[in-house]
Amino acid sequence: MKNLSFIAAAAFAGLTAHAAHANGLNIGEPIEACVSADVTTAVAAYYKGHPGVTLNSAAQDLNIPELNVATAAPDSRRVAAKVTAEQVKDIWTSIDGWGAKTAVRLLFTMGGKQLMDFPSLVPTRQADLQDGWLDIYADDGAGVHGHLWLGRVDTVHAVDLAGSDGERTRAISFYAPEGHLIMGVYASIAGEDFDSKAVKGFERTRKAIAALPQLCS
Amino acid sequence: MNKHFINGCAILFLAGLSGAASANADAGLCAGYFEKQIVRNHFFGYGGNPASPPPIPSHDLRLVETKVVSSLSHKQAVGAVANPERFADVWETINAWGAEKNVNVVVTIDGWHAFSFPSKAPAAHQDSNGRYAVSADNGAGVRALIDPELLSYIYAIRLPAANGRALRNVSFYDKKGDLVFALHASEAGKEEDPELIAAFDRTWSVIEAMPAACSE
Repeated sequence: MKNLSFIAAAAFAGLTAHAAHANGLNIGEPIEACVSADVTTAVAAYYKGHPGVTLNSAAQDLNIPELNVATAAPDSRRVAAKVTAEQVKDIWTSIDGWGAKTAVRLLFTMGGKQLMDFPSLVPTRQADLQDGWLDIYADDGAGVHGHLWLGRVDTVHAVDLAGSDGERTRAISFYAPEGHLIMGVYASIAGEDFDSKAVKGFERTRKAIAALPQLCS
Repeated sequence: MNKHFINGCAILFLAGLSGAASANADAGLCAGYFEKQIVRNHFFGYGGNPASPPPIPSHDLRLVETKVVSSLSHKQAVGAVANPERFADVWETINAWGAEKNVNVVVTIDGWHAFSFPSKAPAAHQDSNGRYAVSADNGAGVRALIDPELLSYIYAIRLPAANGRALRNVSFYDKKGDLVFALHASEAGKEEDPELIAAFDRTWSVIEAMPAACSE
């Protein structure tokens, strides 16, 4: 019986490990962030007809990963960087500086396909527990509670797209290695009201990302 | 060779096959035998949190969220195989929750990142492409565009919390088992709205009557 107990425990541990790690959470194939001239041309043509459209809508209409839309966006002021966990924290500290009472829109795509767009005050960093998470809460805890798993944040982009009539769409977007949007913090969306404090903050965060080694420059 | 040893190995082998077969039959989205034990221990074992929002055990146990909710008993969770008609039927009940009711909208991205937004109860209406435009607070709240063709399962979850309260939500999953979004009608430690709970119970009944997502 002692043998059986030992083997049963070992077998259970093995199956448990299989369940926890071999099946695991979904991890797709990483994609190349930088795009060919053909994709750049297609994205430019799209934005000519749809000025200022948010990146997730463009990705869905063009049927390409949003990361590739961001790297191909027709924007001479676009900056992007491959980031470590500590750099993501630093970038979010910059977003904190937009002001806790500043209005933004937070955009998500689930599986790169389903679109969600929430009005919010700027979510700000909570105590760093060094546990792999970046915890961000808005409105002194009464707004969104967000939890970014830092190990799955691969690149950060600041994109500033021209809309119609001088309006602009400005986003700080965080991407997974598979090219999915994790979260887009929109300081303004062409055609919609925006908070001028967000636009000023966006410019500071854009400069912070610009100071990192540039992706697809 | 010891008879108990052989029997024990056979039981473990068959149990393992059973779990694998269940997972394969459901495209890997339903929990197998051992996965159910692990998840139930997380919720209800010593030191567990019986009203933990499912994205937490999903992340901590590294199991896609459909495996977490399919580990629960049918008193705690009922799931249906999603298709556009069933999605429409479920939303018909959610549209009746009441536009002034307070809920939380929870989203996860690829099962790794999670966000919970306080919101007025959203309503959904089909557009000409078969997708659903979701909005709350007369357009001033959340806006979403959901394609029901891309969903796998719809679950209603009711997990007991302290003081007779419960976590109640309706969850929509993609074909990889990740949560697209969930609408929380109540959460542990928060005041409950009896009208909203009654409306949630009607949604539960509609999902319960649909073809089941996973076996208990």
